[in-house]
Amino acid sequence: MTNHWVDLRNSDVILIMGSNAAENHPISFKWVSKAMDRGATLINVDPRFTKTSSKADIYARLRSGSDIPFLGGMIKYILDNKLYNEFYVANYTNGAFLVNKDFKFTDGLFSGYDPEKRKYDKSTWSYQVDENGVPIRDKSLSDPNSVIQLLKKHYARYDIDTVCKITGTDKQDLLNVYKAYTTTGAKGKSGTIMYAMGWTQHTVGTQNIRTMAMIQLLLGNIGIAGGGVNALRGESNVQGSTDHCLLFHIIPGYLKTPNATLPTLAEYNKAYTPTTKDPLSANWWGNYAKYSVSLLKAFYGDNATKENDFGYGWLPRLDAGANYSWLTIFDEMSKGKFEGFFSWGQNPACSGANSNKTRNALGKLKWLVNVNIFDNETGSFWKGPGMKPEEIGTEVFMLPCCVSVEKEGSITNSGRWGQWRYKAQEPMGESRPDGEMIDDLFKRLKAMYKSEGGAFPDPILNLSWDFYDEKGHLSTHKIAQEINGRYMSGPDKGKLVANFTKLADDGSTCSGNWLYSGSYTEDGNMMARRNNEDKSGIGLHSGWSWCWPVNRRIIYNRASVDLDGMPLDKEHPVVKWNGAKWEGDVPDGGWKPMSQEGTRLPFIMKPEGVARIFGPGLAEGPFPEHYEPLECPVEKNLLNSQRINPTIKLFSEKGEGAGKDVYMTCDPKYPFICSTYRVTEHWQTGLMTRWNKQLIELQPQNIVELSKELAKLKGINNGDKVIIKSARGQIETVAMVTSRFKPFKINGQTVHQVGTTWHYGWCTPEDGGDSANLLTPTVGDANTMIPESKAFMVNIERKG
Amino acid sequence: MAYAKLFDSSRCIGCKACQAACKTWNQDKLEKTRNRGSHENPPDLSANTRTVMRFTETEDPKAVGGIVWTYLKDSCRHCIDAPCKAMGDGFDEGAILQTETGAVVYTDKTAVIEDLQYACPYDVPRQAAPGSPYVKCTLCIDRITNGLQPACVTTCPTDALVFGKREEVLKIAKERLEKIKTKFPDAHLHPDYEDVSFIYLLHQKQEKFAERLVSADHSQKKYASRRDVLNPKKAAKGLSKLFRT
Repeated sequence: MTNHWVDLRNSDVILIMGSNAAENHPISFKWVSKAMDRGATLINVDPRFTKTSSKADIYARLRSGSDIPFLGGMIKYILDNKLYNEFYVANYTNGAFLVNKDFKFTDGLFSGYDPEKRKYDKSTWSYQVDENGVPIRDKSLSDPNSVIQLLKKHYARYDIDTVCKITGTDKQDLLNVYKAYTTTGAKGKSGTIMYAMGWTQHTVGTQNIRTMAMIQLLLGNIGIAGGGVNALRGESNVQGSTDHCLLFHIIPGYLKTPNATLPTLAEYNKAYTPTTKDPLSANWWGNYAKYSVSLLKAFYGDNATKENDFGYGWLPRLDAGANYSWLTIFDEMSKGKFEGFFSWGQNPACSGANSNKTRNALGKLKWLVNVNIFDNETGSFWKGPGMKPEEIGTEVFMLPCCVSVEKEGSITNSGRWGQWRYKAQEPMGESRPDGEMIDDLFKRLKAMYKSEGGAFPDPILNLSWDFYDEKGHLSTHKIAQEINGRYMSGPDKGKLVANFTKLADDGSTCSGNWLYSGSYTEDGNMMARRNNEDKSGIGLHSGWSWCWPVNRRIIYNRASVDLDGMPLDKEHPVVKWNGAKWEGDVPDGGWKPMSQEGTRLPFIMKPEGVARIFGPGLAEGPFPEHYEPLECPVEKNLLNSQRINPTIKLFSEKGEGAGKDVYMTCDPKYPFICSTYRVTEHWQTGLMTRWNKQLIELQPQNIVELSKELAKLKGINNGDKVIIKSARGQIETVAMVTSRFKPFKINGQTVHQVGTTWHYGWCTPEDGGDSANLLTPTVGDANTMIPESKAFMVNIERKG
Repeated sequence: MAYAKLFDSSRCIGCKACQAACKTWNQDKLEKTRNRGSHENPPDLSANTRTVMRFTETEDPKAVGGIVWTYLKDSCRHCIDAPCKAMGDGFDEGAILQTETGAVVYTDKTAVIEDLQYACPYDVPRQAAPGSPYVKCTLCIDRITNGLQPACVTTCPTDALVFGKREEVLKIAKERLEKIKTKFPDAHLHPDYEDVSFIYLLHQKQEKFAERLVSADHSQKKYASRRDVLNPKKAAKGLSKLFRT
C-alpha cells in the first residue's frame, strides 16, 4: 500500500474492485465503516454481488477479465469532462512531458513489437529531452505529443457503449461509478482503491493496477490522506516476504538479482543505478550502490572486501532474460529438470495453476522436502487421487515447523508496518521455527563444503552468520539488527545505523535490507513500539510499530501540498511546511517546498522525479490496453485485433487432459467463465484451516456459485453436487444457486459466469472437494507471471 | 445492573466470527455439517450451537445492485420477563435463572423440563435429547460479571455488536437508527426491543431477514413480535403448552 489500513477511514470515496474485502479482509471493514460513518461513499465493482457489494452505496457488475475497458472508460470520462486535477497532473506527474515522436500505437500494438520473440523494443517509449537531457514539458497539457494528449487519443476508443459491450455492465451503473469516483478529483477530496487478486491474477494483471494508478494520478489522489493505491495483501506477512524479496528476480530491498551479462559489481551497479539530468530530481535509486554493497557486506561480512567486489561473484546469477518464476519452475520440474525441491511453508499441489501438472511434476523429483505445520496435498502428493505410489521415485521428507505464535519476530502488514510479535508458547512436539531449520541446514552444508569441497564452496563458506544470542540460540533480534544495518568500520564500528541515509557504497556499512534500515537502531526495536497515540489527526499512529521507509506512513506525501508546501487538503494535512521544516508525517524527502531553492520533485523513486502516467517500464506498453484472458468466451477483442496480451509467455504441452497446458477459447465444451476466490472461514489452499474442525463446521465443502438462469439451463438445484470441468481437470462442488450472479450480455451474446473457492484439497476433509487449481490454466501475467486464476473457461454438470 | 446487547445489521458483514468465538468460549462440541447450498452452518441452533448467522437474499429492483443480502445473528433474546422461565418454574424454580444483568441462564436442572422450546417465541431452547439439559446463549454471564464483554461482542470486527448498560445501549441504538435512516429508510428497531436484552437494529424491513426473525409459533403461523405471541387470540394452540401441569 502507498497508504495504510487506518488511513482508509479518511477517504471520501472508497472503490473496492478486484477485491471482496468484507469477505476476505473483514478487519479492513472496520476502517471502511468508519469512513462511511463520516459520509464516505463505498463503490464496489465485481462480477458477483458479494458481501462487499451488500454494504456498498454503488454497485456495478463486470465480467471477469474486463477491468481495463472499465477503468479505461473512466480515464476517458475524466479527460472528456476535465475532471482531472490540473495542478497535480502538470506538476507532479509526467502528464506534461513530451513523448518521442516515433512512439506509436496501432491496432493493439505499440511501436517496437517483435512477434517472434513476443517482446517489445522499448526505445521509442521515451521522452523528448532538451539540450541538457531534461524531459521537455508542456505545462499547458495541449501539445499533441504530450502524455495527456496521447492518453486522450489512446482511450478515445473506450467510449461507454463499447465498454459496456465488453464488460457486460449496465450503462447507468457504469456512469454512476464514474460520476461518484471522479468527484475525488476536486480540491480537498480523496478517493482510495482497495484491490487484491481480482486484479492481479490475470494475464493483464499489472496493467489492471497501472490503469487505476493512472486514474489516481489524474485525480490527484496519491500522497494524500484517504488516497493512494492500496493492495490488500493475502497473507499476514507476504508484504514482509516481498520486501525481503523471496522472488527470483529481486534481492532484499527490491534490488535486482544479478544476471550473467553483469560479471562485475561495477557493471551490475551501473546497469541498475538510474541517472537523471534534471537537477530537480532527487532520483533516490541513484543511491543503489550504497544499498547493494551494504547488502553484500551483510551477507559476507568481513569476507567481502573492495578487492573481491564485496563478494559479488559469490551471488548466484540468472541467465539473461530467463524466467525462473513459479509456472516455469513447475514446467521444468515436470520435464525432470530438478533433482530436489524445498517446498517451504507452501502447498503447491493446491496453490499453483494447473494442479495436475504440479502434482505430476513432484513425482519427477528425486527428493522433496515439505516444511509445514500440517500434512497436506504437497507432502503427501504421492498418495493423492490418481497417483500410483509404486511408480513414484520421489523421496519425501516432511519437516514440521512451528506456528507464528510459537516464535518471536516481525510481521509486515499491507501498510508496510513491521510489527514485532512475541512467543506465546513453546513449539509443540518436534516442530521447530523455520529459522532454526535453515540455520541447521546452513551449518551442515558449511561443514560438508569444508570437509568435502564441492563445485563452488565460496558462497557458503564466506557467509557471515552471527545470529546467536549469549546462550548460542538463533536470535531473531540479531537478524533484525543486521537487516537494519550497522557500521563495519570506523569509530562507530559495530553500532547500528540510524537509517538508510547512513549507508555507504565503500564497504563501511552493512544492511540486510535498506528499506528496513531504521527498524532496529541504537534506540531499540522500533517495530516493537506500541504507542497508539495519534497526534496527526489522520490516524498515522507514528509511534505504533515502524513502517518503511523511515516510518513514513503515507508515501509520496510531498505531492499532498502546493508549491509553497501548504496542504492541498486543509482538513486532512499529511505534511506541512512551517517555514523552517516539515510537520506531520515523515516527509518524502526533507527538501524545501517546490517554490524554493534547493527543492526536489516529490516522486523521488523515479529518475524523472514525477509519477508516470505514461509508463514505459512494463512489458506490454506504456498505456494499458485491453486484451482478453487467454481462455475467454469471445472470439473478438472489440478494442483491437490482438485477442490476447501479445507479450505473455505461452506454455504448451501437446495433447489434452490432466496436467496438460491446454487452452480452450470459444469452445462449446467449456462455455462458462469461471473465477476462483475465497471465503471468510478458510484461508488460501486451506492447508491451515481445513485441519481446524471448527472452521470445517462453519464451511465444510467447496461450493460453486451460479446464477438462477444457468441453474435452470443445466437442471441444477441449490445444494446439488456439481462437477466443474476445464480442459485441464475437474472438481466436485456443492451448488449455491444465487441471484448474486446474473448472466452477462457481452456484445449481444449471453455469457454465464460461475465461481468457486480454492480452499479445498483431497487431504481433508473427505467430502470437501479437491483444489480449484486443478481447473486453472498455466499462463501468467506478462510482467509478474502470476497465474490467471480469475478468468478461464469451464463447464458444469450436475453429478448424477 | 441491567445490561443489553445490540445487533446492528447495517454493520454486520456476515463473517461468522461471532459463531466461532461463542463455540470457542463455551467449549461447545462441533457438529458434522455439509453444505446445503448456503453459507449457513451449522444449519440451526442446537445443544452444541448457541448462535447462528442467517443469510437471506431478496431481489429488490430499488436496492443497490438489485439485491438485498442480509445477515442476522440468531440467538436467545434474553427476554426481560422470560416465558421460558415462566414455564420452567413449573418444573423447578432453580432450573432457569433470570439475573439482574438481563441474562436468562439455563442450569442443568432444565433437564427435568419437557417441551421447553414451545414456551419460546423465538424457538431458541435446544436439548441434545429428551431428559438432557436445555442449552442456549448465556449472554456470557461468566464474562460480563468479570469485567469482560460477551465473546461475540469482543470478536466482531465491525462493531455490529455492542454491549453495555441497558440505557447506554438503547441510546446508542436510537442514535445509530437516526443516522442510518437517510440511507436506509426502512431501518427500525425490532418491535420487541422493550421486552428483551438482545436488541436488533435492522436496516431493512423484517421480511428481508430470516423468517426466524419473527417470533416462532409451532403451529406454522408467523408473528411480527413476541407481543403477538402472548396475545391469547393469536397463540391459543401453541401457548396451551406453557401452562400445562
